[in-house]
Amino acid sequence: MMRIKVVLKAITILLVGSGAGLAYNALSDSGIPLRTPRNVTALEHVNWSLYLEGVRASLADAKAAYDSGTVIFLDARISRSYAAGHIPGALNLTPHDVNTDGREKLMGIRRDAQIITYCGGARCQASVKLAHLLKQGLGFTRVRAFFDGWGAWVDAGYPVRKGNDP
Amino acid sequence: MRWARNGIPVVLRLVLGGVLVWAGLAKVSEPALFALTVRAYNVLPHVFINGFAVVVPWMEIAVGACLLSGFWSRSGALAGLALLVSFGIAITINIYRGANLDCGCFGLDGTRGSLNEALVQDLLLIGCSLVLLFVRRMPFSLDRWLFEDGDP
Repeated sequence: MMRIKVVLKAITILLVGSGAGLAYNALSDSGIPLRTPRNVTALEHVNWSLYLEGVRASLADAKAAYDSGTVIFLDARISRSYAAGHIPGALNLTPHDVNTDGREKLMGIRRDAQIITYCGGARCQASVKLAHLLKQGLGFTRVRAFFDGWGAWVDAGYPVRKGNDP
Repeated sequence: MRWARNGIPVVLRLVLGGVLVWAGLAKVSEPALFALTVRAYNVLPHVFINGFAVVVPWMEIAVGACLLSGFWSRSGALAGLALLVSFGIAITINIYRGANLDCGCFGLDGTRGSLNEALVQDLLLIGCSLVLLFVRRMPFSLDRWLFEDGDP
């Protein structure tokens, strides 16, 4: 008959082994994090490549730009979302608008003005698309995309404005 | 038949202990590679993979050392059984899935052994540990020397 002591000792052996493993992992150069890192998502890849291209504006960048008052924000979402709430001062311009009559909103903006585009959040593409159009198509030189977008802005509790006016 | 009663448990103990220490040592120095192997098995939840890869090779070494030295032999056999059964389950699941994996049992260079061979080895070792579980008075062991009645 198997005595409980044998089981307890077996568990002890395994625990001692685990302890040695943890100690070795902590001390060795080839140690790895005990919590498996998450797999990198496609979104993070996009975010990262925007960062590498110098096109990405983080939440902190966006807030600093907002506080400076010298940066033009372009809200790339549809007008209904814009009216429901946007970053104060932001102009509403979807990528589609750029190719139609909405383009006149850009008139009077210098080509070297600092511009930050945004849309709903990291899952929308309009901000990146708009930034691309402005840079490649229209020759604006200092365009960044606030990739984390409206969602991150609201979550941070930063100022918002409702209605159709900037 | 006295030689058999003494000899077989000792041989089984040394074989099982030796194999476990060997398997453990082969994986100890490269936890990151072993974690990749564990991930490829696709059995554990994602979060636990690294922890498992850190701890398991050393468990194998600890169990193997107990068996080789004959210290807490029955408990060592039981702990080894637990490890081997868990490996067996992971291997069986992947054979059933038809996964094309390297065993990763005795080395992480991705060259040693198919899953079928690994399962056969695993079952043989499980057999060893089952036999050892029933040996109360292990000959030529630290237990015999340290404790009056072996590893009860």
